[in-house]
Amino acid sequence: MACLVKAQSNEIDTLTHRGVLYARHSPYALTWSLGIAITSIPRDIVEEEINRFPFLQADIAYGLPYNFSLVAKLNTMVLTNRLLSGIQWNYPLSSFDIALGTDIGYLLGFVTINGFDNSINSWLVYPYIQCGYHHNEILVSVRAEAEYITSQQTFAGDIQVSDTRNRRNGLAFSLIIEQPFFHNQRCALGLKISYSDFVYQAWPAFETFKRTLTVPEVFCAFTFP
Amino acid sequence: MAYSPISHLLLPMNIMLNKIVTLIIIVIIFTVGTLQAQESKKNQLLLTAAAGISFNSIDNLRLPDDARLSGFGSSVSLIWQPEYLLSVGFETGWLFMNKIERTNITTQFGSTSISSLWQAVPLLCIFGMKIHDNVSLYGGFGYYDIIAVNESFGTTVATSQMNAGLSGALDYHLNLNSQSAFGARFTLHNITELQQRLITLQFSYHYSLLAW
Amino acid sequence: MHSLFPKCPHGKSDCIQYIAVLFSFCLFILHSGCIDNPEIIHPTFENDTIITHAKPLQSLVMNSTEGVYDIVSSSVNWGSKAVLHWTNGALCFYFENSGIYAVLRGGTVNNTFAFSGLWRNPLTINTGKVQCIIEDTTQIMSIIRSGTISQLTTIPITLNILSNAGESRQSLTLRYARPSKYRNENYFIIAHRGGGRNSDLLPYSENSLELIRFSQYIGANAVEIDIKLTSDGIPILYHDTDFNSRLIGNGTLIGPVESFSFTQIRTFAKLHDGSNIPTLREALNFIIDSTSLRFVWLDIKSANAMRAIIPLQKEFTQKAQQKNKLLFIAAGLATEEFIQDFMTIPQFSTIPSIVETTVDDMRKVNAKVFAPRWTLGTQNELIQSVQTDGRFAFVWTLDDQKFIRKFLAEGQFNGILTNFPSIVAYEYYAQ
Repeated sequence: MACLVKAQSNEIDTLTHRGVLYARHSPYALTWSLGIAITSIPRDIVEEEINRFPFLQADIAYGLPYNFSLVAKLNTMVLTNRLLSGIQWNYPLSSFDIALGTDIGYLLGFVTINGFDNSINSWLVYPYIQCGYHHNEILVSVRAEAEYITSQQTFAGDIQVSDTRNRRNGLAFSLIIEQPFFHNQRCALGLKISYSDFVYQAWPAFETFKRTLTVPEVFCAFTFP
Repeated sequence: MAYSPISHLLLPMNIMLNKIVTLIIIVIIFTVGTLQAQESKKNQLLLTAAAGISFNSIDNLRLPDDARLSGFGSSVSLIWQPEYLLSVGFETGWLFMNKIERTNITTQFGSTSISSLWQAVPLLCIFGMKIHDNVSLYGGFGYYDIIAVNESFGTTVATSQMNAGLSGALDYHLNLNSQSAFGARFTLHNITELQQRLITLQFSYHYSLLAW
Repeated sequence: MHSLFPKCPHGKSDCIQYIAVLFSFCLFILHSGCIDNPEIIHPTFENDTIITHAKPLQSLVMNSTEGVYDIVSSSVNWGSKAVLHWTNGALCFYFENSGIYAVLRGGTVNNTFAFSGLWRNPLTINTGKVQCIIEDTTQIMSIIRSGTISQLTTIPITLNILSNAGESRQSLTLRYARPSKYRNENYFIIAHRGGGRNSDLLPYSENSLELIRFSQYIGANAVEIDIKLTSDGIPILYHDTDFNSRLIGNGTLIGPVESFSFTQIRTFAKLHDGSNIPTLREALNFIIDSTSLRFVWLDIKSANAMRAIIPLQKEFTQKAQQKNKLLFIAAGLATEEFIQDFMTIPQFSTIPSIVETTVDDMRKVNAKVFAPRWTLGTQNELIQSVQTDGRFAFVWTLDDQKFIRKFLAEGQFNGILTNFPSIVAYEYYAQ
């Protein structure tokens, strides 16, 4: 098994697969990326109150032996912050890599709108399956993930407005391409489409209307070895 | 002034255009990663200027039938092309959206001449990628500053508003020399926040400002 | 020869190109099928013949049948109780679950009561048609004429509930339980933005005349409307700072509302439901002439609108009095700046106003209403002190059923501002 892992590691190093969002990571190698994500939320929900700045997105991955990886992601625009971390296991198949994993997320938000001191905190779980294809230095990933809210509380001042437990929130599909950009840096471009009841970027709207929203998100990030 | 209701015939066309824009954006994102690195390792700073026709594919404004939906559309982009195939840059421009001109019309407030003009200034972060020797694809996202001038009832009002949006472009070019190329470009601008779409058909000129 | 765009090295990359295009196509199909967020399709009644020849019911019948009803059998989960309320001749039901409402029109046809209308869950996109036909009204009429209203409990009322397209049919049967304890109380159910927000997918645009009319049927007896000023000083009903795609569905105006004159706005901008942006004058005329609303909260969205509003407030208060109509019109003062500006107006203390900041501010301007935000809690002692001065206290903006119930049960307010009047109506009348 150790030989197999070593052989795979060499192969990955040879191919310089240094993607952060890709399904496989070199053992004991740390990669990270920094970029922005723009989400298009229906304007009738966000109205004027929520500013429409893009989110800063940071990803980090650390390869472990036996095809495991540790991954983490931060989405932030100061008022809304979501931190995900989880473990991933992959199965290499020729030029493809299949990965299974689960991210545990924590959402923290706080904003004052019209005199209301609003806040949210939430624990989320994202089980996912990801299929990757690598060709020379190009890494293509298709990912499907489910989103569960295990616990979510929203507050207006000291009053707890909502308390949600163990709810299936929706599904999301992503398409990500990572490729060389400049020297050792890579560029990741992605499109994510979510079908969710609760869109975390729009939490300050305190949406009371129940409907599933289709929310596209475009992101680009620069990856560092 | 009477507004005509939206044509039911136009609706499917707009939905189709919406899907075409989406497809182009997705294809751009995919094809950005589909080619191998160039043998040449040099960096370039490319200036691209394009000028042509801009057509406003109306989705939700329900403009009157005599509204002019096509006009001049220009764009300028500055793109950094590093040693690999992907390039990144900034695009801006001046795009016609729509114009309504009527003289001596009767409204409930009396007779007046009316002129309304909308133009868009894109402020986009763009990614470029060659998909063939002479063909490049571009995808962009950012904001469009919509500038509107309304002249009616003896007053002129100029206003502007920022709206988020996406763009996708297909550029065919022929090399003129080591520093410049000439081509034609088809672009779809999807101003998602305003639910407006612009199609531009332009001639493009590419010039290498800097190479190292 | 060197060229600006060097040739692409092809070959091995072809495979990935095909895969990429294939994936793009699959994702595109997925994306395009779902990208348009669902819109509600509101029921239409063009071909509704069952009420064409109906005559309005006598007021005695309407007054007698108002009250709380038990749901004795139902194939839909709308709760165990409902409130029946008559508004402007329309038969309105407000149900226990989520403030689901049914609004029906009709009356007597020979010896039959025939009603037809719409139902809606205000928290979802679920809506449809509803019909109510009582074939033999002899028994009902004799109970009502004899004044033995409690005997109405023996008479079932069945609602036929149809989906929007009319293809699925379910039913719900109610029986009279008791009169509403609070039927005649002076409590204000205040509809936000004239009835609700555009995001609530109501049949009419927010701050439109038709929505103000509709707000009565979904439980409101008062409205809050947003006031902006045009460049030529005309107060209009509009919420946002800009003309934008959220509120404007038809027209060529974009940018700050206050940049445009009224004539330009009327000529070039339409709301999403195709109607004009109403002026405050039109709205107040409409409220007096076409509704039974009793209170109008003018939410002033720009400080310069204040002085333009006050003459209209006075004019239409007098007009309502001349028509023997009980209508109270008050200017909302949401911030310290608005209050300071208000106090520069001559005889400001005689102008009916609503203060949202503090009780001290309320007394300073002699406001008729104190309106704290709901997150400050029920504040019973403070609210009682306000009311002992002969003033009212409203709370804003309560949309959650459990908080509405709590404020009604534990609070002392005279009214609730809400986006969902039917929830407040059920909770209030069913207390």
